[in-house]
Amino acid sequence: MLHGPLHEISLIEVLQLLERGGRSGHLRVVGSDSGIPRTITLSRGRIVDLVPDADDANVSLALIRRHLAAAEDDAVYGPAGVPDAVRHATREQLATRALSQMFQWTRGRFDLAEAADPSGPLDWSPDAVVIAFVRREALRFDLAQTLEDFHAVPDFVPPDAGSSHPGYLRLEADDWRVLDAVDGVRDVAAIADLLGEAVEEVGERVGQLTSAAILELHPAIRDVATEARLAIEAGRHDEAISQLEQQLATRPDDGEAWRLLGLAEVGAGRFDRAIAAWQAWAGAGAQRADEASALLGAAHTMMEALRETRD
Amino acid sequence: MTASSETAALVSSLARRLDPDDPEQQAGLAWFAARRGDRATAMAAARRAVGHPDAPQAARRTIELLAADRDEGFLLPHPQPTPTVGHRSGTSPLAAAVAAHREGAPAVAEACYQAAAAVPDLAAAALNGMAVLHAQRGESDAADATWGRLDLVSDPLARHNAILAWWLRGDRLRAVALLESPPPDTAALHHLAGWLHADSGDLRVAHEALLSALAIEPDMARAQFALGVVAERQGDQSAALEATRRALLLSPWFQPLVWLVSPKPGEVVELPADGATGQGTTGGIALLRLGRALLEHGNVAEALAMFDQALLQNPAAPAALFHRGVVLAKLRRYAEALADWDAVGRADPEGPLGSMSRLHARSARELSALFSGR
Repeated sequence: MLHGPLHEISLIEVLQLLERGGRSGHLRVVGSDSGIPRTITLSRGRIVDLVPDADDANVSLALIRRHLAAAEDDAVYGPAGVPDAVRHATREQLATRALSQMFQWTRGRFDLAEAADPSGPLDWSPDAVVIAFVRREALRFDLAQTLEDFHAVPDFVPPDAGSSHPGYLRLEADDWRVLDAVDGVRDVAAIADLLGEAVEEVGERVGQLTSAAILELHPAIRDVATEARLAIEAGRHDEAISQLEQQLATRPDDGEAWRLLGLAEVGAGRFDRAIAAWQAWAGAGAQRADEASALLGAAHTMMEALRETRD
Repeated sequence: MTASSETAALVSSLARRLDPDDPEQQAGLAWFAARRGDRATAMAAARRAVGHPDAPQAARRTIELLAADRDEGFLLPHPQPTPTVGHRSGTSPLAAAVAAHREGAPAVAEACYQAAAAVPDLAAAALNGMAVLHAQRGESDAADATWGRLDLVSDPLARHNAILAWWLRGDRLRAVALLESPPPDTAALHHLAGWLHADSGDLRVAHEALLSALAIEPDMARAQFALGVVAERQGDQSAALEATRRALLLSPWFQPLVWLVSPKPGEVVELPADGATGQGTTGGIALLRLGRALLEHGNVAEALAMFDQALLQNPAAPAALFHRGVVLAKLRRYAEALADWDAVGRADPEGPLGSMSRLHARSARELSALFSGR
């Protein structure tokens, strides 16, 4: 069995080696920044599957979240009725995004269990995936410059201002979903977060919609969340806590403020208060329920470890 | 739910910019309008969409939900799938390769160079980059095999890199043969000729080659620096100092030797070359001598720049670290001086520089405490 730590050899290099050797099997990868092990299935060096990120259940969930399918039990409009090509494209997007994250892991380990010629829904050369990864990173870097680190705020061009634009537009499903999330308050990063999509993909759409004079970009608003985030990053936890508590006094449904409050409390070493904040976040309808649950689990663990040390 | 006049104006403005005969666009508009509460526009758009034989299913769903007075569950038309992995127009695997190469990600760079080599217009530049990558990894045979696939006489970047690689690995005769036939015609090749001739002790020819490089490209910092090294070896300290100062003025962080790669036609990117086999040491010694001379004459800031440059070429060079520590202590930057001297002590614990560094470090600590009022 081939195995090793990711701090000695990156996942990219592992995949390239396996491709050159034409190896087949299931590569189990655990990153220290994620508790969920991933399994990449390889057939003669080519990537043919990635679970759980791109398995059938996650593809169906993504189709529903993207408004391309109704609930699972809807016989006509549910995920089962979505054309194979659309399902496949969605699977590829999920797999690409997951691999892009995994390529950046510098801790964790991999274990290859060899298997005879396994099959799967994908058929990618690892080199091609790496090129796609580099393209995404380059795009993210470029867009961060033009979109103020993704904090620029898109809003609709006033109805009369864009009327002289020549020719008809062609909008795609992703464009419509971005337009649906635009409210003149959320920045690009917040829109990506709301949609559960990669920020560079949303940023690229926003750029195109701006070029088409549908949207216009406003400078980043330094709101409470941004200020608090900066204070946390600079280690000024009490300052961040004060700002966030003021915000929550008037807007107790502000999930992001609860999330940040938990982070600031952890920074200040008060895990019990962090747990309370993240419970409130989960209660305020956290978009990323798994993240809320993971953070709560981590805070409990840290608190218990601290208690044991004190005892 | 009733749409506000603001929403209605927004949806209507958007509707005017969409083809009324395109069922996919009308189905998308219906979804957007329904989500914004503009049910009238949503219904009209969905009806326009279903009037077409190839109407998206989503438009029918919108009509059904609106008729049932529902305000959620609307669907978007399915997109035309586009590949997420593979070539896409407007992007270049060569540019991605060079970007990864610059960032020190060789595995990514190699994959991208391989992809670029399959594209006819990018193949030559990709093979050149790949050969450099092999040379940097010490894979001499692979590097030569890759350069062997290129016309080194007509490709100035590949020619430059092959000469540099052969020289660095000690194959001077082969490097000179490629350098002299045909005669160099770019600043980069003249610069390399300067180093090669200096390396073999032919300082007059080296001097002329470097002047030729500067005639083509007057702001070439590394040629100015090489000129300083040659002048120093010729015993002309004042010319050496002048040329080295000019090099540092042009670019304080220039690299004496570089690989040349191209991310797209007409564009050249420099990657630092490791000059450990001779010229780096020669340059380092010249810089140290010049730095010491400047220090003795009280030009402390310039001396610091010389030692910084020497350490840029070889970050662990004990002599450069020791002298920089001296300069930093003179500038009362004791913490930085101590860091340099500690590094010397670790690198050369038994040698004279190591013991002298420990002595200096002790007094620097005392002075540091004195100045900080402790």
